[in-house]
Amino acid sequence: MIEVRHVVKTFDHFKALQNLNMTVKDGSIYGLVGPNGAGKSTILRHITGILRQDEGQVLVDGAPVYENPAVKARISSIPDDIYYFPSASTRDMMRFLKGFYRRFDMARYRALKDVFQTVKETTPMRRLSKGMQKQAAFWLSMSCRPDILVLDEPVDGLDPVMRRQVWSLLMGDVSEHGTTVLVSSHNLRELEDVCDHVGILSHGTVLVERSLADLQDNVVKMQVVFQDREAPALPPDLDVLHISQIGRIHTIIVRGSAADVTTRLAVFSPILMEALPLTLEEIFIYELGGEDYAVREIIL
Amino acid sequence: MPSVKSYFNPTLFRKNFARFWPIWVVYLLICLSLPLFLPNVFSIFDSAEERRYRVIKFIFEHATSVSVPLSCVFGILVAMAVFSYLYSSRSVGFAHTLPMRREGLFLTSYLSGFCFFLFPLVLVFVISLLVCASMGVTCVGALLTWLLVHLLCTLFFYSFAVFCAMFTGHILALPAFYIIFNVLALSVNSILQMVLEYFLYGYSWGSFAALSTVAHWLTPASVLSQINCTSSSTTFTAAITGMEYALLYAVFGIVFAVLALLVYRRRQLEFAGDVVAVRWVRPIFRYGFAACFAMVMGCALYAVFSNNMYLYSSAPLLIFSFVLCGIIGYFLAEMLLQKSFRVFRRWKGCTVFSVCVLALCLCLAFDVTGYSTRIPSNQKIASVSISGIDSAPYDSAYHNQITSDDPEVIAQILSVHQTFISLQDADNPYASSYSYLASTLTATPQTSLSSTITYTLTSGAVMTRAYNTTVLLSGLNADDSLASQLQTLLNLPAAKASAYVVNKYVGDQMVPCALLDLDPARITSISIPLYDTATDTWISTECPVGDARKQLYAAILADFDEGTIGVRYLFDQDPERLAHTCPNDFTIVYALPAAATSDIVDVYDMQDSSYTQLTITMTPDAAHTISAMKELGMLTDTEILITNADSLAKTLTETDYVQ
Repeated sequence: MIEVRHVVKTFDHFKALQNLNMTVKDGSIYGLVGPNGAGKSTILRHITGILRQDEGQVLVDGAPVYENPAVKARISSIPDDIYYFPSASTRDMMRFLKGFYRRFDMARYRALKDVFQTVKETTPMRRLSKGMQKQAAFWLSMSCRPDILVLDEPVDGLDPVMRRQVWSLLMGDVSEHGTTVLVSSHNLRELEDVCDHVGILSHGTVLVERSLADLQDNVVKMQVVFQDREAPALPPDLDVLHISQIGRIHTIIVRGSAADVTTRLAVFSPILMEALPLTLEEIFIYELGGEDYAVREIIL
Repeated sequence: MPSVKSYFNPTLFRKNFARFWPIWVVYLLICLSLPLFLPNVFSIFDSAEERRYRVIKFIFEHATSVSVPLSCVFGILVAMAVFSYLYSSRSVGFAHTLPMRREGLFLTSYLSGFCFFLFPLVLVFVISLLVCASMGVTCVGALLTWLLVHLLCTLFFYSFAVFCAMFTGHILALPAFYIIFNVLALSVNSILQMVLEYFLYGYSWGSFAALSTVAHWLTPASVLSQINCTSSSTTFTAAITGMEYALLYAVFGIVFAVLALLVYRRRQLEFAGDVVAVRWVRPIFRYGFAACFAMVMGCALYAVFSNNMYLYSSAPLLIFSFVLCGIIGYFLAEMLLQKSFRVFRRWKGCTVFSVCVLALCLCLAFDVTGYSTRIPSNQKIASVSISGIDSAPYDSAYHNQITSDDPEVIAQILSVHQTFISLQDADNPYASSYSYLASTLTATPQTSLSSTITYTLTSGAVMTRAYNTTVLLSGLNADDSLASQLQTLLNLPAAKASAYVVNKYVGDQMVPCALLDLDPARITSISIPLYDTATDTWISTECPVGDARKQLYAAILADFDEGTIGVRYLFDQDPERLAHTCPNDFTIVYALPAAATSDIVDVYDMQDSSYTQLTITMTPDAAHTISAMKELGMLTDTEILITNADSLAKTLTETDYVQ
């Protein structure tokens, strides 16, 4: 289990992480989402042991990650900007990593060769396209047989087929070996398909951290047609995040369970009322609306 | 407890060797020059002993001449290579996600870099040994010394480069820091001396000898250049001197390596790409850079302005230059730190820095410590010396400094010093361009002086002052003028005795030889050119051997005591000097005592270094000497002495001189 407790990190008077708390359970796929500059990559660099926090703790199974080779040997990461030695091929990098990760699995490496067929093992990595470099990074990382896989924008640059294949491999590792996957991405639709837990970051702190099911259950989109054209005054204790109207149909985003909100709105005897689940993208937008991150309508 | 494996990773070690092979291969090729040229250092006609001597000498010369520059250049190259992963956020991220402690990364990288030197050196050692053996020369000891010198120098320069590498996050800043730190102490010392010289009247570069000594010791190239090869072709021996410096700096190297590791453990990796990668060093860099920029560019700006405006001393201009360059330096440092040109909002720090520079400059300009006007009291002076006062005639005392503990000399030098101080605002030729130009246009004979007065106090402290000025011949008419005081000083008996001392360098040792303290038995020759009236030419006349030399030397000393010979004149054109000196100089060749030369090893194999030569100008007033010369048959009716005035009248030229 990855535990991040009250982590603070300051870069030259700028607080990148402010009292950040998050927990990633073993064997889960945890999606880290947030606007640009929220601190996603920074917290991932703490979890992989690159950066040292100013305050707080970053723990894996109770042990600190920073300067702890035993813990780091269980973690493999794919950063947004992959590094490789300038003239090294995938095979060279494999030999290098093999010297560091005792659990490096050569059988898996050979097996994955078939998956990543487009990547020539002996071609210098600098000559590979961005997508191929990402494939090579997956190939090498998954061959390390890590307990924890930390991925920063992992499928950025991969074609749709390869994306599906990579996610399939990851989910296979999670189900077969209990690998924990921590993934940061802006592709919320894709995360929605694979993540079981989600953390939303903003201004260096985690706003919401729940399982995806809980998250979707906590906010509901109601489409209502009231008796009158205009909506009646809604109860003040109803936590309305957003309200809009097209024709006579009112779309109300409300925090709370679908059943509870339906009961509360039923008192207005609406002509039509339907509760719809929110997509992760919608949750992201409405949750961050109060964080000075409202999606502004563009008026030309 | 971390295992040994946590501190060393063979994969990383091998990878460094594989990635950076061009560096150690080039290093190896350069080192191979030793065995390559070994067969050429002797001829087949040399004896076995001479052959061995030449081989060992070549090995030592190779070690001393190649080790310092080679390790200095390759030290930084190797450090840049093996720690290159610290200079981009990508590589930093990659290296520090590896399951290894920072100590492990550091030690593996450091050791692999050191082995870039070690392996080629050992290989060259073995090859050289085989080459020597094939030539029938055994020189294991010499080759081990060669190896040791290289390794010690390498240990220092490489560790120092690694130390510098830990402070920066930019690969191009690393060599810049390395070069700057290698010469920083000496450069700052020189610039500081220049600044003080600009501000303080009478400031001498030697005033803070301790500062110069510290600067020397903090400049590795300066200290390690003292590692030399000494040899003697007569005894067929060769040795390396200055190994203690190499050992000392190797210890410093180990200290730097440990410090580098400590810095690396605390290094914040998010600063990769920045000029300064350690937080607490950033303010030091900011203010240090600004201060150095203020001093260097301030001096340069002042020199440009003052030359263009014909100003030889202008404190306001000097202060303006320093403050302006300080401000520019501060913002340049900020630009480097912030990697942005938009740094002017940080004006508060700049203001504080500028006020500090201004305050310091004003303190110096107004001489708040009283440096310029300070003169030690007579009772506290143990001895004094004054140099840079050239005087006629042009014999051994012409350019010599006067060093004495004689109360009369001390009192007179204090008087001269007081006069120098009084000239600060009045007659200083550099105080105003107009007075300087006026003095250069005058028809009165004059002489320029760059004199340095050094007091050794009874406490052991040394006080030095330096002055540049011009004195006029007409000044001799006034008793309190500088010219008069210097003329009096030059002719004090103790001052004259001090001036007639010749220092002979034998090897690297200085052997003084005083005219008044010669052992007559060691005088090997006394000669003087005389004017031959029969032929109207000069002929060289030698004093007869034996007691005649003692007699003539005693006569010269007697005249010296009476002040009829050895009289000094501040001005060459002084009519007194023309009338009372001859163009004839006695040349005394003197064999130095054996004790002075026996222990000296000649660095350059030069022979015949045990003799010295003194000259003293003859005068027509030297009655004892003239009498002795007549007795010894040196002076005759036709071979005579003439005065300089007579000589000028006869317009004799050098072409008339006949040996």
